[in-house]
Amino acid sequence: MITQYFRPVTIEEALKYLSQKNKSIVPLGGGTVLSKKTIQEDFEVVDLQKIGLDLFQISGNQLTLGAACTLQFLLGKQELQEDLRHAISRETNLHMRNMATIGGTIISADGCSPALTALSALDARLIWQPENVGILLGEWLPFRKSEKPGLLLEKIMLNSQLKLNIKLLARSPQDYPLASLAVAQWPGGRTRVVMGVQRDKYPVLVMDGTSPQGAFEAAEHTCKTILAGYKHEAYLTSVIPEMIKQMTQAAS
Amino acid sequence: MEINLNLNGKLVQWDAEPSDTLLTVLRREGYMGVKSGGCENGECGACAVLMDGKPVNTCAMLAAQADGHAIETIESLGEHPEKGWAGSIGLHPIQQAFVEVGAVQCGFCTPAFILAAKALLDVEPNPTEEMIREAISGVLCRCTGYLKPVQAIQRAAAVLRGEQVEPINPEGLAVPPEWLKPVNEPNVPFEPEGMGDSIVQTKVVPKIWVTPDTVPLTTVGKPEQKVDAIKLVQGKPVFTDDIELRNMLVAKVLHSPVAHANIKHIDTSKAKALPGVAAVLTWQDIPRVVYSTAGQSDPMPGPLDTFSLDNKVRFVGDRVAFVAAETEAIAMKALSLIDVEYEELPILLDSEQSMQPGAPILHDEPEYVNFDLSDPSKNIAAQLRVDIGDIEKGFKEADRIFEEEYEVPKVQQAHIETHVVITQWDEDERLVIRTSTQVPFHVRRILAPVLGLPMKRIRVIKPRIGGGFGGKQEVMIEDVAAHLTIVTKRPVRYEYTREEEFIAARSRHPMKFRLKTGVKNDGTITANEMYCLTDTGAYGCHAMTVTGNTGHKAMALYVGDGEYRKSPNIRFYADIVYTNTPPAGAFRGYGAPQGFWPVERQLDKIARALGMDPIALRLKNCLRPGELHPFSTVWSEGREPMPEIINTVGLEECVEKGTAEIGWYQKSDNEDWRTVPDKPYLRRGIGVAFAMHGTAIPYLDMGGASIKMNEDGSFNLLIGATDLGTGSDTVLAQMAAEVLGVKVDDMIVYSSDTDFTPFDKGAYASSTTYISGAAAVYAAQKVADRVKERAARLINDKHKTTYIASDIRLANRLAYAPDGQCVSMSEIGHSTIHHFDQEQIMGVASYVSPVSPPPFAVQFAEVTVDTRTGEVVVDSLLMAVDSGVIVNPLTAVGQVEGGMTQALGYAVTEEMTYDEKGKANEIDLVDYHIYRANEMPQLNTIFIQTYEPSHPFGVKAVAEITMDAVAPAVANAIYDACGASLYRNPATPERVWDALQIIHAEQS
Repeated sequence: MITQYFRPVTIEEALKYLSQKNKSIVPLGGGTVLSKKTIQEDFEVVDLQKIGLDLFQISGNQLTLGAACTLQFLLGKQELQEDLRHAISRETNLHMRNMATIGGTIISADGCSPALTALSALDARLIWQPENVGILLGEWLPFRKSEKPGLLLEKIMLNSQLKLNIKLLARSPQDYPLASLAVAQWPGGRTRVVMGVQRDKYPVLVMDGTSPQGAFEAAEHTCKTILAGYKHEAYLTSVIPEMIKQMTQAAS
Repeated sequence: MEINLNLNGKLVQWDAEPSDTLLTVLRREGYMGVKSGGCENGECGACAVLMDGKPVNTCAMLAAQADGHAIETIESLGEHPEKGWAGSIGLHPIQQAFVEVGAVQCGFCTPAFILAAKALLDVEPNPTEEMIREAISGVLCRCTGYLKPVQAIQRAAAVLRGEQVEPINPEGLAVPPEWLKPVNEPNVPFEPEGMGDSIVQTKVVPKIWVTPDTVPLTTVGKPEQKVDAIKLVQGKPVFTDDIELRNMLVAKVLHSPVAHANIKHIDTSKAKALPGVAAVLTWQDIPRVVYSTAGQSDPMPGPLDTFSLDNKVRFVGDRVAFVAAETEAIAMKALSLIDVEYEELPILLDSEQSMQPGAPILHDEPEYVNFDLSDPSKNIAAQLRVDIGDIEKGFKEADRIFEEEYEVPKVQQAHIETHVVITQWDEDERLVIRTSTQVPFHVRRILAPVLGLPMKRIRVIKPRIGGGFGGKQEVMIEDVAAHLTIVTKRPVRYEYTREEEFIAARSRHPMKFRLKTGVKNDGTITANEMYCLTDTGAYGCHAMTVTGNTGHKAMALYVGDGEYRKSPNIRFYADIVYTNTPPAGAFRGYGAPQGFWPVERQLDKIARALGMDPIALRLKNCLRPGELHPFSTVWSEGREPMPEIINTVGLEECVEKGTAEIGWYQKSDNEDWRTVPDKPYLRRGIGVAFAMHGTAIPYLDMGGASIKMNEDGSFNLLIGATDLGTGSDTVLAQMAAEVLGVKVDDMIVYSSDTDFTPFDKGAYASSTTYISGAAAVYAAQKVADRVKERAARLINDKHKTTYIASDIRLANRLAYAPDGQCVSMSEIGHSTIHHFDQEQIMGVASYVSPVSPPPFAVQFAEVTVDTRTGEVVVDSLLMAVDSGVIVNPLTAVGQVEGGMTQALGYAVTEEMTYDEKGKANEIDLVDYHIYRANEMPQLNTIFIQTYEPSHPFGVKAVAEITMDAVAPAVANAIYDACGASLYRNPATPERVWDALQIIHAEQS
């Protein structure tokens, strides 16, 4: 359970708290995960709501999302790709979107997270403090549980010019998806495909190529690899490659 | 630590622990309008407040995070319009609209809806319906289907914009006066007239087709406001958990992590030594009394196979130990300190294996009490063998025989208020059990021996209930708190978490079916045979009765045509077996939704195979007025079966009005309509299913009512019936008010308390309006007789006349003599209590029905299927329903909309599954998806009124039939759209896609 609560007002102050040795201290975004009563171990939290991480900036083609931007705040930003906003809207319900931050989502969302899948497809770059360490989301996700590039995720950087196509497989229009599929395409043709399924701990890269070519085969291969033995294996391995094929064609 | 909030416009400063959620702190400080749905993932939204004007869930936020912010709770809005000399600001327009439109059912999520609406209307005064649905999408509602809250917000928006809004209850709404016969005596029940020629009347939402011979009534048939609505829209502390008692302990239960095991050893010493722990109980500490948790009348129609605590666990989630502690955190810590050594046993998860030789035996305890055909040595909790007519002869006479296997899943009631109970010794050292239950009198009767107390030493109080749907027709957690109060001598509170609802509460019985139907080429059904294998889980609560109703409802609707109407050939055999899964139990519909899945799927297949319109096939074979309920002579849930003639069947009219409303004949078999322009992978379809239910359990279940007149002409209506959000308190008050000639708000309704209200079997079996309502009517008639007597005396004294009681007519809060002289109810009450020949006018009555008149319904569904993925979007649901006379159109349509929505989940998304060790895969309302406001299909309701002669106001049931036919109608629509034939619900994308692959394989 939470034994101490801190609310710093600067990044530096937050980093000072977070850098204390021999203590279990974690950053608190929206609190939607860390507030759970069932967490038995003792830890301290550093609430990030007042350190200015809720900025949304546009600079040329580059979008910068402060890690403490709430999902609902981002949903209102027309500068974000429509499909990214769609993915964010399907991350959780309205009340939780008013609380949950994009940074917290990146840190804790599961393998089927629509937002995480979309951001990974967009090849989002994460900036960590201290030392302003930059790392691509897709490169970091496999090591998310074990390695953090810094003490504090400060911001997420995106290219606003990319085309994004999202498909969520779900039982109903607002159901949390069984599978999240995202295809991002750069103006030069680079195509990045990411899929998330509930079984995995993070969305996985299907393909990152100079063109959409080979997306179907890559999806088939990825499905065979990561869905083997999964209860939805037959369904997903049949449907996902076809959907990705159609999505890449649509993106082209 | 200290937190400072701008709370409802005032600065407050409170102490809080760093780990306290905002929910915990607000409720601790008395803001009980903030409810808890028992979740930690913020999925239900009942705990919502506005933070800086935006809705947030307080269960998923630390109190410390709110420091320095503006928080609004429901307590910041309006108040009751009558607050004495200090005056009142009245209700906020949003609250008022919720009251007027009938958007309040159980009321547990209502404060959250209202706050979410306020957040929207504060920034958008003229929202679209889409915006409203999005704004309230953070709140899950299991009662309303969201339509009424949306309408309420639209109405409130108009009021806040300064616009005029139409009254909800204009005079003469129910029936045009020119269509009515003159009536001299409105309190005399009218004769059944059948359907006759009808006229459609559009009410606030439902269309009600009334018979032109209907007698005009003053309150019955009118959309009266719910008697509890004003307190519920204010979030008043009316639910079980909304009281705080001094020195109250928190209870927690250690649940089994294994599906089947003997408990070899339990060491509770470390838990007991933890500071703040008041008691730890295991099976060694309490009496070993076998009982059933099923909340049913005596004698218990099922096996006795349960102990409060046992030395054996039979499912993951079964009870191992109880803890009572000063705080929830200490209780949780104590649970982790209990050491248990399990001797694991082979587990049984597949019902098809239960009766096989060598299967693990769940119930080998010597105390097990058999019921009827139960046989624990074969894991059989109950068996049913029903034969009507000559099934073999029927099959021989058939031209074609259709035989298929079907399956339905286990699903959860998912009421937003979880199970919760508070127990205490009162000043007389009687055990008071305040519990969210549908069956307070059964709780008292069943628990007395379990607790070692005489029944008279127990008092059960039922506050408002935050939804039940059958889940609270179970005596499931009351014993936990009661044992702990007995041992600690202190008040104890026990509240299920949402996870406990999934692992340790009840559910709808999953069933597997084999259905064989013989038909002639003209569509006449000659024989219908069902075998049903029911999985009751680890205990046999409701085992026999739920499955009995599967046959009694679904297999009774279609008797065949011609000579088969007089002598149908029906067989219904069922085995109800144990498995190492959480026990099933009562769930709205009580076996019928399961049964209608195979029957209505099969009827559709038969129609298509014969080239018949599926509606025509159903109408050809279904029951008609004046026919015998085929099961009534061979099986009854209650006493010995007795023949029951069905007086009213509105199915033909339901078809006529329903097909016209939805455009059945324009859409069915219309390829142009099925296709979606530019999206060849999308296919639209339309489907239909019929349903029949019951109204109460004949010869068995009794309801009572007591009415007392006050000196101001108001009346106290005391009822044991338990309004679990359905509006039954209101409906019963309407019927009593009708008889007494007063307004509904002259009726002060109190329900239910085993010390103060008459016995009532409780809220189940679609019986309250019919059984308890009849009791209220008869009690009111006794009171009315005395009121008329006293009125005649007053009029005679004043006007020197010689009227007698039978000359007097009660209406408009007055007692009229034939010459027009009258006295008011308040004059009568005052005179009777204070002035001469003083007496307390009271009436007590009870009612048991000899029949269970069935309501009928025709359910339509429209869907769009994505043939690439198998995803299904349900576009619209329309139910045309014959529930007899509709006492309150608003509460009745709320039942239909909410029921269809719950059934929509059964059709498309809801399913409880387990891993290979019996552990639940779904433990929250994320994985177990129930529909939200922003993904709902269009809902439409049509009431076809018939007059049921066995009830003083002609009513039949409405609450449960709404569950019965949505799933098969949706599946039939899916077939219509794309040819995918489903044999198991829900229609998940994977199942639909699998079915499409079968078609593709056949085509290739």
